[in-house]
Amino acid sequence: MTYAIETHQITKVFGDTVANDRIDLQVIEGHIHAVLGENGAGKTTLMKILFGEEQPTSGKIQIRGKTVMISSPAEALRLSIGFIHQNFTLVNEFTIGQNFALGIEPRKNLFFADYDKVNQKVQKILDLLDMPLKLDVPVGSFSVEERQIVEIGKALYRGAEILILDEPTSVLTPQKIEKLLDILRKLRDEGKTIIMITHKLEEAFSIADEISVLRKGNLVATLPRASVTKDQLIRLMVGDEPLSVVEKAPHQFGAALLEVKNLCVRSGGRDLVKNVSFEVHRGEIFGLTGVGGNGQGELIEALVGMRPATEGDILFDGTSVVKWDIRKRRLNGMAYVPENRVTRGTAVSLSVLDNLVMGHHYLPDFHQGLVLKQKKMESFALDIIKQYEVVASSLEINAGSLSGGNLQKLVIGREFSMNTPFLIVAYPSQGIDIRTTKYVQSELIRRRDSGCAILLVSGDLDEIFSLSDRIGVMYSGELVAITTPESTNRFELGQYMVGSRRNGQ
Amino acid sequence: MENLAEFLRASIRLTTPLLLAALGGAFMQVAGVPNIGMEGMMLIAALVGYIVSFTTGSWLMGLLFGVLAAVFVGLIYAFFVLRLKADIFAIGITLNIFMGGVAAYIIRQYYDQISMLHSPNAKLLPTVSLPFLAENKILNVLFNNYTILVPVSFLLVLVTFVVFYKTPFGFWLRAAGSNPLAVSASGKSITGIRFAAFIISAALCGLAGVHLSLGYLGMFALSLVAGRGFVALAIVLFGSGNPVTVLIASLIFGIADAASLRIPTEIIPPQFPLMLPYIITILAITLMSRFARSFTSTEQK
Amino acid sequence: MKATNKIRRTIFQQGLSFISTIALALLLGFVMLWLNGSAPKDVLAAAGSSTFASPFRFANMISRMLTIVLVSLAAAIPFKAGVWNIGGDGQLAMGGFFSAMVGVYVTSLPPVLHIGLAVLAGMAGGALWAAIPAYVRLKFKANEIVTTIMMNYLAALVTGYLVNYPFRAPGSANAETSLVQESAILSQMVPLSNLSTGLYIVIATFILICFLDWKTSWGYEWRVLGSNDEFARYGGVKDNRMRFLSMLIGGALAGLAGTILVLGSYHKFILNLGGGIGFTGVLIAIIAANSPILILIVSAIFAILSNSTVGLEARLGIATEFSSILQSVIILLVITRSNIWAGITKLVKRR
Repeated sequence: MTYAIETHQITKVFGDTVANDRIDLQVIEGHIHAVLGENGAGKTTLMKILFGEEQPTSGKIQIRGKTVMISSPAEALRLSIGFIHQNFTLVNEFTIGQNFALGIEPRKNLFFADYDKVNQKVQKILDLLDMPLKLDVPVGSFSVEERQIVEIGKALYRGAEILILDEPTSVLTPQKIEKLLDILRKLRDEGKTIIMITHKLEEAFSIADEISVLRKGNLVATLPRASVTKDQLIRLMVGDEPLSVVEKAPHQFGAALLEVKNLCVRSGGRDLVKNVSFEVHRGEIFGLTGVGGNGQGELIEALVGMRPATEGDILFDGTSVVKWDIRKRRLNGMAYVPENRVTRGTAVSLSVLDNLVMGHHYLPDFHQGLVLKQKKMESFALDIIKQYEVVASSLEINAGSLSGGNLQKLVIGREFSMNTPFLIVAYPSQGIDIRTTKYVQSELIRRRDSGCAILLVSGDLDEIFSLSDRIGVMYSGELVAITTPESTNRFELGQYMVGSRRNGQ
Repeated sequence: MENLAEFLRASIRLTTPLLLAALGGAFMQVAGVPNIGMEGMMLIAALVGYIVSFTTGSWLMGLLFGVLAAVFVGLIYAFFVLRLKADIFAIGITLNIFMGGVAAYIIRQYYDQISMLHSPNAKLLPTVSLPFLAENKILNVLFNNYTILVPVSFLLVLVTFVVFYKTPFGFWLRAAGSNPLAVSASGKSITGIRFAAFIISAALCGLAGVHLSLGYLGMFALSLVAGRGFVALAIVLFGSGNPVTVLIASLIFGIADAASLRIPTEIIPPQFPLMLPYIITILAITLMSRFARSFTSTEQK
Repeated sequence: MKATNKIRRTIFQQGLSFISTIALALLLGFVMLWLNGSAPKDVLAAAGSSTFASPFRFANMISRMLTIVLVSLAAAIPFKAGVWNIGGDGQLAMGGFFSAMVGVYVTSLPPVLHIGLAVLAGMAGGALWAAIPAYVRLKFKANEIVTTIMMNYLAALVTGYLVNYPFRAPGSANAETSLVQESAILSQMVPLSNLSTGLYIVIATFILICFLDWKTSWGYEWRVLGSNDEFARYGGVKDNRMRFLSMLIGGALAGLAGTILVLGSYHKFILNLGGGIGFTGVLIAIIAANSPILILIVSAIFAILSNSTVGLEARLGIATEFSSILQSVIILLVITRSNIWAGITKLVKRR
């Protein structure tokens, strides 16, 4: 038994976060190897290292027993490693053959690309993949799943023996997933080695020969499929430490402030949010969790008005708000700490002051007609900085010069100090230190106790568990469960998150 | 019938400079870098071409140096955009003004002229004819006695088509514009491909400029480009860089141009027909954007 | 306290690199002229004489500067909000024409009212001409670089028709309107010069724009839109409305530039009123990073440059067009100044 790929103590550090911590991964040649883990577990980083898109901070890599330096994707290709990205590297206007041969076109008559020659080889690969696709139409006219397979074919055309697939099923419908898995099995039988990154347990379980589980940058285990159970894998993915609960007053249910009724969000022909209904009461923290990309982001955007709801209704304090614009929703009591503080939560090229007053600047306190009350804004901004311990030397420096944690505190401070009856807080503790996290958490609880309704979105189960009064789990656009911390546990939430269980099962 | 032939002939003559420039614009457009500097490239080529022609007495040298001048501007453009990563719009606009200044300075400083340059020694581009068509009056009007760059421009549509859709280079160009990830994944350099696009684009704009001074007008004037670089840009955007659509759009503009010159000024003041190309450009770009938007929204799935 | 010093230092460094880049470009200009056979000493003397030797020359420079400042702001305000306004020339022409109409055909008004009305008409004309490309950009996403430039040519043709036919001054050999009424004229401030009391209007406008930029929610929202439009939208900024507004104001400013040329310098509308100054405005807006103060400084430099070349031409026979070359070189160097200084630092360190 030879290893197609072996990594020894691979470590990758970005700034002060360790994405991969001394990873020893062994992939058996001719097998399908699933790499399982939640978002942020370090899967994609590890694969990028194998494809030469990232260089490891330390550690070494062996391909079929030979130690190699994978300095670039081109080098990886030479070592017959192919990477199927989530973002396709296909040119939509080109045919399959034109895509496959891009940059290595055979020529005829000196000048012209000879696609007859290419297409013979393409046909063989399509036969192998069992995909009877037309060779003379642009790939843009194919469906997403067809393009995915074309992408695999492209790697094969370029001589890949080891295929790395990054979340290949995330864009596919369930029926098409089966088809893709069949193709992967077929390729394995042809002797290819396949590494598949996924957070979907079912898939890993149905296809892999070995399964590795990554959690928080560590490789927790590599196990042969035949000898594990799904429940074991879920435990490995989410951990089995007991969940801690932050001290907080008992849940005082108020009236429902936010009512979401059969909300659907559709975009580009895909259902991103499917028929979601729930409500958030005054004095309640509703924790919404799930593996990233299962519709939480789109749901929030629909709530705050950044994305139209395709169907369904959103009632805020009894009034339908679906036709309101963002400003009107904010003015009527919605505040929102977004997931991505750099692209959405701030303008990093503007000053700390400019960033702090956003959304406040049209509140009655801060303007007189068109004129902004500069002094008032400044003292208000200084208050936030002090209260939320934002380390900034002055209000005039660029927000971009703040550290990630301070930027997050700035965003949280700005949104919290709107003093709205409703707060949406997405991934609040992402990239901030423990002390600040504790502060944010106690602040959330304080707001809850004073009667604020809070929608907390997070992938961190500890955070969800310790803060929430009720917990909702999203899986592929649906709200698959609503439960309470008292009546559930880490393992059960893990099952909801990977789609192997839903409420009432 | 003869009138119609004359009219078509005028249309074709007016199509050529737009067509040449727009083909040039297409090379950069498909590679994902819009050419905002066509106006300046055309102007400098027109001037250098004209000056070299009357100093050397050779239209070929004029043509050559005119194109070289435009390529030089293209090099500067590429250096700032690709190497220094400066904003392509800002540099393009600056270069247009820069070349306007250079042209004005040269004719003022060295030839003591204010807005035009005319020399009896200038050798203009030769005309070409097919003798066997000369016998028929209408065919003769329609197809003969064109300045050489007129047939060349139509030939270049074919060449561009072949380059874009039949050669590896064309595929790299289009891939660079459509999905740069595909290019880098294939091991080719995006910068290298785009650099080539800058140079070819500039050369074609150079041909357009030389045609204006040495072919169409027979003199140089500071106002000779008169926004054609931007009309060409609109044509390119309209056809998303496809040479056939570019040809059709250029013909429409050529016909509008010719029509504007043929409307008798006693009935309609000359300004109105002259507005036609600009109005058409605004309308075209508006409609095209609308179409393009609906196209991309279906693409983003 | 330490950190504040650091900020001061970076601001100072940035200002220094800006100024020294312009100095570098000017130096380059000297070298070019030197290679061309003009001694730097003569160049300096000739350049200085044309701007500073007599009050009326200095006044002409100021008058020129007023136009440049206005067209630069006309480009900078929309630019700030993330929209290109290359249409300053057309907006200037339309503004000039509108104000001339009020100046010529409205009679028996007291001067203050008449001038006020003409100024308003001019600003409305410019705003109107900017509204068209702004509308098609925001409604249909039509590239505003192309459309604003097309609007320039259209403005030249439209005004060309209007002053050739319906509004041509009776008996005039040129295509121009009649002279505006006495009551609409902005009076001359320095004898023999183009400088009129329009100066006060421009100063007031400039202060107003600074105020808008620094102290109001409009300025704030434009700033945010231009630097991160997703953040702006997230925060509740009505993005399209603010962009449209920025174009209207840009157009009005260019229209005002035309108005002041008509009421203060020519006292009538003439063809090619702005002479392509709108493009200069775009360039200045780019390198001044839309800051009104930097616009003021760069406009002064450009006005002195173009004025100086008059002296260079008269004394040394250097064509005035040299100034637009030098201006372009300044722009190119300033845009890429961070690269240039990084390169120089590297070279110095290697030694």
